[in-house]
Amino acid sequence: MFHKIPKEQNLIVILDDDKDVQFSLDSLLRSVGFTTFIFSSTDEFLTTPLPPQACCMLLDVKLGNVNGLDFLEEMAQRGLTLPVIIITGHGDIPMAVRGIKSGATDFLSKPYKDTVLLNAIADSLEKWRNNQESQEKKKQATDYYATLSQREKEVMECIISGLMNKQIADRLGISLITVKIHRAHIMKKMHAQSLADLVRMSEYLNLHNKEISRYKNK
Amino acid sequence: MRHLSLLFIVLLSLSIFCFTLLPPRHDAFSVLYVIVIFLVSQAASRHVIKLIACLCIGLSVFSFSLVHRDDIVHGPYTRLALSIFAILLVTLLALRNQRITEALAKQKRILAHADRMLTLGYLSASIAHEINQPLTAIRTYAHSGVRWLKKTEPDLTEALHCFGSIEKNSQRAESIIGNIKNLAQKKSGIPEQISVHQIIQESCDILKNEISNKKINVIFNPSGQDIQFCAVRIEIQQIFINILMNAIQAFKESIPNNFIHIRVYDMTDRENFFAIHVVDNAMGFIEATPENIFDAFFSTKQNGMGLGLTICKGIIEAHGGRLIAEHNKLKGAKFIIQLPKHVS
Ligand SMILES: Nc1ncnc2c1ncn2[C@@H]1O[C@H](COP(=O)(O)OP(=O)(O)OP(=O)(O)O)[C@@H](O)[C@H]1O
Ligand SMILES: [Mg+2]
Repeated sequence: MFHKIPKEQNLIVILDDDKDVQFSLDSLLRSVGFTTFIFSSTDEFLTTPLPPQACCMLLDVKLGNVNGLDFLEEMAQRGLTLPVIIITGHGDIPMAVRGIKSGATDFLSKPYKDTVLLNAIADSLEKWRNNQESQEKKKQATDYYATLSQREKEVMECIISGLMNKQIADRLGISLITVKIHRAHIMKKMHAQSLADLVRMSEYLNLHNKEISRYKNK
Repeated sequence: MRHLSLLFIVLLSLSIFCFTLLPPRHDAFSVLYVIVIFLVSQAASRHVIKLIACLCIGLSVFSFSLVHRDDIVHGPYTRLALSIFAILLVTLLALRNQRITEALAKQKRILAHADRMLTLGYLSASIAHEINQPLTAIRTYAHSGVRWLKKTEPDLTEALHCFGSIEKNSQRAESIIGNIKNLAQKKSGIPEQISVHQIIQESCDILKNEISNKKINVIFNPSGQDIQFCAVRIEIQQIFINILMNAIQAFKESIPNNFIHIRVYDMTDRENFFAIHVVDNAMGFIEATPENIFDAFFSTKQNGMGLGLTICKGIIEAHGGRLIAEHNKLKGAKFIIQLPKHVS
């Protein structure tokens, strides 16, 4: 399951107000090679800076007077991003739905089997990594896109909608040569190797404009 | 105390006996033995009452034979018969009274037990949660113990720690079950020395899930000296659980400024009494008054039995104390428990 836990991502945060449950989780996670960071209350968690190795959080629903699900929403509002696995003593379906909607990656009910918990952690980490990657790509695309001029943005919109150079020139009322120059600049500024690359990036940017179509415009 | 009353009864019987023998040697005084029986019946068991009745009849006959020894054949037998008849009648009444009192006490015990079972019903979800915690820890430690041992280089220290923790957590589960058993038992037990602070704390612990579900802030600062008094533990616990449970149920919303304030202090205007205030800022008495809430089967709750406060009042009054309800000044309800420090 965990063939190799990367050193830079091996810290699991445990937020549970029950000492015995905390320490048992700590023992189990350490036995498979993780390190742990234990908190008993949400206040304690919010006032302590997390080390960058933190990669996942196990969150109990009952934390004294605080509801773990409420806290999950608060975390999102505060911009605390970390994959969260909700653990509850008496999970019902509405609770699970709410947890997942608030961004939890998994939902376990106590007592759990070790393999179930560890699988949930492995899945969360994987999901998180994929998500992280696409987040990074999105950020990169946005940064590149910001360097384009207004005209180039217009041209790019047309390109990704599949218009040919000639159609673009007609549509924007510019010469074919200019379109070609813009096109070259766009490819360079967006660091795109191919048209497919450019289209993929535009997906992250949500650029697709339904108004523009290669066929309708004829 | 007991010895004193016993001595008094013995002295009384003897003086009645002497009275019949003293001049003018009137054996009609034998009828006064009914006082002895009446007094005995206040405290003694049925066997003792019967025994004392026989003794009194014996004494009457004895004094009759002494008074009329000159002419025992022509003695006033009707008078003796009347005395004995009076003694028998009072004994019978005393026995009957005792039976009814016992039956009543039994009914009260059954009712108190039913009320405790009802409380356990309310608490079932919390109890399940409370037992689930150590169970979760046990299972997790068992798994991690195996993992530490199965490593290429087994870590015995860690594994031993797991086994120790399994033991510790099974004790935790056991003690929760022990608490439930105590609440569920039929007998109410014998009086013992009780610390007020401790029993309030224990009751809050039993209800801690209910309290946190409603986000209630329980303010109980046991400042000053703890008060010790003698009572049946489970009965006193039932008082606090019922009153706290009512307060918890009176909160309709889970919001952070919900509170229950508990205060214990010596009463200045009543010597040897102490008082406990339980104040909440919930909805207060709606469709109820501070008077009628103590009526049996009065409840404003959908599935309430309306017995909680009736039983609390009964227990407190049996201990020689008082239970009072009031509207709290701003919002909510206030319950005042007054109890004597030394209950005989
Ligand atoms: N703290 C409180 N705040 C508001 N109302 C209360 C409070 N305590 C008691 N009451 C009122 O008194 C009534 C009687 O209480 P009692 O404990 O005798 O019965 P119950 O709680 O309704 O039912 P049971 O205790 O048998 O489950 C309640 O129904 C409620 O209306
Ligand atoms: Mg009640």
